[in-house]
Amino acid sequence: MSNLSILLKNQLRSYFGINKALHQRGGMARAKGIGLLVLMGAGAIAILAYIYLYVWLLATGLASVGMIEYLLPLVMALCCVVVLYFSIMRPNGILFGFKDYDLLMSLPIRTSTIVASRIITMYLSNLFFTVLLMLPTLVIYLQFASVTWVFYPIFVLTFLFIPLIPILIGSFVGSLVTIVSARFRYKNALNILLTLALMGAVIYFSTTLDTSEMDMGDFGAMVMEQINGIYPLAGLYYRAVSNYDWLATLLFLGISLAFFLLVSFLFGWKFKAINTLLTTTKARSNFKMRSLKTASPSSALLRREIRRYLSCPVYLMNTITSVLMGIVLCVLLLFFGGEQLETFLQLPGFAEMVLPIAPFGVSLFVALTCTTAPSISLEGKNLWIVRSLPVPSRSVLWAKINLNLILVVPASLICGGILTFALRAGWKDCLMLFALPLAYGVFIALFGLITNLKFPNFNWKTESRAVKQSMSTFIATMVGMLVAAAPVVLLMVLELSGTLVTLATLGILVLLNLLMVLWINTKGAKVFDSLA
Amino acid sequence: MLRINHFTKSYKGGKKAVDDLSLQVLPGDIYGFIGHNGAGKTTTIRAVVGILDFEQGDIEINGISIKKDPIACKSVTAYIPDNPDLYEYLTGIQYLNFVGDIFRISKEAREERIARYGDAFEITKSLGDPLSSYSHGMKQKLAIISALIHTPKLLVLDEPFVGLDPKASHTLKEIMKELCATGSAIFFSTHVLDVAEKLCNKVAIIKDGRLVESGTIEEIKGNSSLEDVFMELIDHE
Repeated sequence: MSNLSILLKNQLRSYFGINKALHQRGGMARAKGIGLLVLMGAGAIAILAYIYLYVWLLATGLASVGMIEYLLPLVMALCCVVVLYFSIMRPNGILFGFKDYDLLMSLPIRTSTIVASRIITMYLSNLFFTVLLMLPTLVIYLQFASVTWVFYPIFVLTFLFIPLIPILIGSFVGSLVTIVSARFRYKNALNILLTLALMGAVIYFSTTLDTSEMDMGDFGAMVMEQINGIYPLAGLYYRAVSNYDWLATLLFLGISLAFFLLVSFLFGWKFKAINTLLTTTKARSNFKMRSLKTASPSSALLRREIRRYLSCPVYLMNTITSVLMGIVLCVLLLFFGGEQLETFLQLPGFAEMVLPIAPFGVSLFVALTCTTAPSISLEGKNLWIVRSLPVPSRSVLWAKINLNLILVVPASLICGGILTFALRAGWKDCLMLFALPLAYGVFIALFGLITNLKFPNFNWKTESRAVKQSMSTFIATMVGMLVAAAPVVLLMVLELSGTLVTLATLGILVLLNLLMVLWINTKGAKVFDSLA
Repeated sequence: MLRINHFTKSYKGGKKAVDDLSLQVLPGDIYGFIGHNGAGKTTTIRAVVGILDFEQGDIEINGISIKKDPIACKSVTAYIPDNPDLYEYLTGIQYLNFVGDIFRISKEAREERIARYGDAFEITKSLGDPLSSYSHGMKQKLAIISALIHTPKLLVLDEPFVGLDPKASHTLKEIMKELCATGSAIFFSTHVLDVAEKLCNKVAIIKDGRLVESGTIEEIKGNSSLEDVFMELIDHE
């Protein structure tokens, strides 16, 4: 077996705790590990179903104007944006600054092999997003369009190459941000600010529609121009899969591969230098004893959580993006109104439904803001500190919950205030615009913590793993989405009264929150005490 | 100060990491806890400081059971693990301040003690730097300072001299003697028998989870060296 395949095997089987699940001692523990993997599989299926629904709506719209051939390139372009977005946040800890860097680099393995294994691992994990988006799209496309046998090999070939360029661009930009910020004292803060600015730019440029020069007579070309604005290779992809153009296919594959190999070579060339830069921290060694500020134990614990949160870009970005997007959408609604947002979000009928579903819309963004889900896992090898200190476990847990509340409560209030004004809500709707998101915010903070108490993971090698690839984060995200979406489904599908659904949801959430508080203060604290 | 009564810790599968361990550490004792790798020293220590749950036996600190009132026990105890993984996202002074806040140490006492121990371990200048920039030895020193600033009644250390430079080791030994002179007690594990022989007034030797010998240093070693006694006990028990 080659060194590359040995490294790949080692990296891939540690993903999602597969290796741990398969090698757990004891029937119960093993069954639990495997059960968790099955649960994650079920979650992936649920996401597939959601994407299927969304793409179906898109396809229906395109088919109605005779433009179904643009479905694949449009979704492909969106897929590239998603991969780009996630790749910007991931390189540190995956490509650079990973915990077993010292061990791997001391082994008799070429640096280029190590780099290749990390890049391939990144590619395979991003292929997951590509499968999630493109597979349902393919199924839907085949229902609307007639294809010949030539379509299938072209689709399969191009499918494998879709994420190549976005991964490398995202990783390159993400690494640049990390390298630039590493030179500064407040490197994490700078890292976070630069990443947020980049995220904003990606979203802005991928959704900016320049309608000033449109020739409405050539609608097809206009659509293609918009798609190309999102991702420049989309035009080649369109010609490949819709016109079975082999030249376009080869160009698409060739450009993707050439770019991939070039950037991979650059990464490999500067691999040691970048890792050295990232792992050596500048020490000023010029401290002089000064007057210290004291605080209560609960304040100290909360401050510790806040510092932890701000010190970890992936932790912050993974949780704050949702509320920021929610606030941005509320501001957009305030300035542009429901009709323009309907176009922006590509959600037909949005304008009419905005008032009844607004509380749930905000709640969805709030419910996806869960800092507690990885918070216990993130204690990692530091767990011994809080466990050996004279602080009740309850206090430690509540500090984590309070951090979450610091994010979701102001966001809920800001969104509630903006929407009350934008939608000219009466007092009942106003109450719901504030109360419902707050209830969801408390819910997700408590639920995330309980999930992490049930599924802690202290043996992570990178913070990214603890934050994004943990069972607790996965469950909290799925449940958050489900709990926020379920009342909207009842509202729209069963056509129940908006007030009834909203009040019932609020009542159920308040009850659940009270039960969870009780559990955390009693059993939850004991569970934390038993963690070692 | 510390009383371990029939402490037994079993893991899943029935394997006993520690089996029916009983010993007592009195105020003023510097108690060495010696054993081979995997003997159960760290398991015992982690149970003493309240990190590890256990079902059989009991551990009392200052007469209070760690099971019944862990907060009271932890309030008078300080723990330094063998490999102190500290909060890399904090600076040295932020970490010490955090510990100071948890133990509610007054501002004046905190500043005085941090300055004193910081100078003693020659780490004051680095207190403003992030812990991610600290070497292993520097983290060890900071962990020691964080343990000392709240003047514990019981200081529990797991391999405290590993990673410390000779000067820091000497400083730590002096501080340990000072602490015990004021009525505190020290319970620490070590592989360095030479240090245990010179520093401790009592030792306990553990093998495969069971206590094989305990008592004063004179009782244990007699006319031999502690190393000879240890090897004899470990090979022939």
